[in-house]
Amino acid sequence: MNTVKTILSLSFSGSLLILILLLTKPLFRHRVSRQWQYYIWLVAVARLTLPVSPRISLVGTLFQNMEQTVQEILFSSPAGSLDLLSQSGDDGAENRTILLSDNRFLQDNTAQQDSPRPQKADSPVSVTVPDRHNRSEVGSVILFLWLGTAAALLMRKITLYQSFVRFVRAGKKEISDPELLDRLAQTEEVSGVRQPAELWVNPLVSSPLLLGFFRPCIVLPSVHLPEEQLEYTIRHELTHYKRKDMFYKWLVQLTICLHWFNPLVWLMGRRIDQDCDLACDEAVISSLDAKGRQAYGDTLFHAVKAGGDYRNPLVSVTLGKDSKQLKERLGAIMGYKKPSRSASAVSLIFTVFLILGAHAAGAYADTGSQELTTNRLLLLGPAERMPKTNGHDRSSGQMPAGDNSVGSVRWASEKNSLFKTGRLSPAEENYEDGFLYTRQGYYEPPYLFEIGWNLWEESGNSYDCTDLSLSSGYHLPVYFTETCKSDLQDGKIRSSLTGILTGLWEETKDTEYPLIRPLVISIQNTGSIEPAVLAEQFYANSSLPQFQAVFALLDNHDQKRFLEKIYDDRNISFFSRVINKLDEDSPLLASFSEKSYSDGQINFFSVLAGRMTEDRIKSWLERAIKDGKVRFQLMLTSALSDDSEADEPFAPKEDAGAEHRLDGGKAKVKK
Amino acid sequence: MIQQISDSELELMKIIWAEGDSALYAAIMEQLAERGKHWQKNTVITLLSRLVEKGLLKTSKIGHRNEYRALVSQSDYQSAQTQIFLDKLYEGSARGLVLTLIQKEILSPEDYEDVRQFWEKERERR
Repeated sequence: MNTVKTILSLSFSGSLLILILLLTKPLFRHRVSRQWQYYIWLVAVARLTLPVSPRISLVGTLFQNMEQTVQEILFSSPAGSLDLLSQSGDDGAENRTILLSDNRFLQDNTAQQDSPRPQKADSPVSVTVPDRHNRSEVGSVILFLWLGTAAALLMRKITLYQSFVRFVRAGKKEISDPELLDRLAQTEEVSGVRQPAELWVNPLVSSPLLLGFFRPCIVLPSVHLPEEQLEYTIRHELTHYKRKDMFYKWLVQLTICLHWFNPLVWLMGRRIDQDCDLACDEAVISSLDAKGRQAYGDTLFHAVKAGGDYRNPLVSVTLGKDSKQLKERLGAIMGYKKPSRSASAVSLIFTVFLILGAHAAGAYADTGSQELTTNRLLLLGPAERMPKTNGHDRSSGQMPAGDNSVGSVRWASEKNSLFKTGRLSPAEENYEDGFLYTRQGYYEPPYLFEIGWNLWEESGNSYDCTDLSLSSGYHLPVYFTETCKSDLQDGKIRSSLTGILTGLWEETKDTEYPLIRPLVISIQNTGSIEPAVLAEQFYANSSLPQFQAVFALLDNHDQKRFLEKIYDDRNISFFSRVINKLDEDSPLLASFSEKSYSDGQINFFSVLAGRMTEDRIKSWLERAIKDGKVRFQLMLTSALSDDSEADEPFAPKEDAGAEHRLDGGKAKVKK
Repeated sequence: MIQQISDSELELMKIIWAEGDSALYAAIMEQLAERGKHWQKNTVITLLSRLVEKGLLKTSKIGHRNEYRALVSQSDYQSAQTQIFLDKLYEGSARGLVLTLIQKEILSPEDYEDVRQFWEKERERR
């Protein structure tokens, strides 16, 4: 889907440029060098084909806004939204999905409900929003159609070219008269062409033309031309060869194929063809005197009259395609002046502006995936179990084997399936299938740590380890990545880290998921930068753990400001992390509940619902029933019944810090 | 079937045949000059590459220089061309040609005697 958007945005940007050029060029047609007018189109071609863009650009933002609007439309459309929500799970509450490296996700099937469930308090969750299944499917179809048409068009052009060449070759007669060949050789020398060109006659071609990319072959309709005209004709064709106009033309053709849906690009192609010959004319007559220019004009004139009918406009570079353009060319020849300095300066300035403009116009860049890459891993509560599917394995792929890059953690499974089917019996000690580790930011100014724990044992081998003694006296082996190595030598950092880990250890030691095998992923020294500024930066960079860590230190006003920004940006992963870190009695919870309810942003609402008390949920449910908001009703209902799962055998423990488990199963704690 | 070559190409072939069926580019240029043909460098290159394409020559590099080797001997070429000529003008019959040669006195009586004896010997051999 993103590729489609990129292409469309490139087409759009390019169209802007094409329009500018088409509209402004006629103004200074006679004052600026024709060569420049011919080559300036390369800027538009580059804009159409190169997917480079500054981060923030005109067209880029345009398309991103469009994407958000489309997303909103999709989100708030009543029909089928349930389906979508239960399938995808790109809302904050459906954080029980795990993002696989190939952007697919697994769904918790053990839950009986199909609707998203709210979050329990205090679970460090970050969720990434993978592309919806549906959207990516539509996108693939469009992509396939576009690519298919482009390829077919290109194939057709190539086959037309090939048959044209074959035809011309079949009917050609070589010119063997040494005198003529000698004249050709002399003209080659004058024109500065080293490779000797072939010279053929084929009375069926419509005008003298040049064939061949690497070995030039000049084909004339007839040899019976006055000597001068022959000379000019050959010079014209040789100039085409020298400037490699064939390559330029085919590049343009390729661009047209890629943007087959854009009529402006076709228009540009036609204009470039014309400018090609004009530029070639200019190159030839620049070394001629007035009389010579007149003779050159005569040549063109007569060439159009002579010749047969066989032509292929896109294939060969000809002396002249048709009589319509002849007038323009003759006019240009007679009106030729040596380009003045000011004209060159003007064209240079214009070029620079055009390039800058092209760059600024930009294109759609895939920013969504940035979040995905930072939070590529499993992002669940500490050591959540993997969801089990009843029956079949949803995924056929495995996570990539652990490498040394941060965050890639080896999945536990020995067989190729990621899950075990069926439920775990309490006696089962093997809880290794599917341990995930959490990853959060901890900020003790000025040090900002990104820490994960419950690292899979095998992965531990790829990291270095150090021993920290927590204040309780307990010695904890702490893993860390390469980048943290030097920082951990610093005593202050170590003590900061120790303090944080001690706190965490205390918090989690009696829960199901104690602090074992922590991994220090990154350490940042934020110096004396204000938390608000840091938060701004981390938000802009989509650094979720860091942002979350810093957020806690913001004052109420800033927290509100950021929440509003996150909400307005519809950034669900940031939203859910932040919401889960707010105090129970924060007024922001209530105000955003109201906001998301009235905006119909069910995913945001469900994140908030995770923080609500049972009574609150009940009162919201009544309200939703009254308002007839079915989806909200369903969501709230399931939220309620989650709470009442206490009777189930695999009920979650209600301790502080215990997380709402995916399968509701008990997990063994390995000490 | 050997493709038809132009006069100028034939000129080059003759030079190469005269040089023992293979010649360097430089030698060819020299010979041309000696025969009064001061063709341009590119002209010669073009003609030589046509001959290569038609399968009459093979080109190879000796160090920096190009060598052209004839793939068809002169006599083979002559006989092939003769056959074509006969087919075209004399319905493939050599008799008509010989008659013309004699009648138009293109073939002198001495030469005719020569040919006759040669022919007798050939017949006895077979």
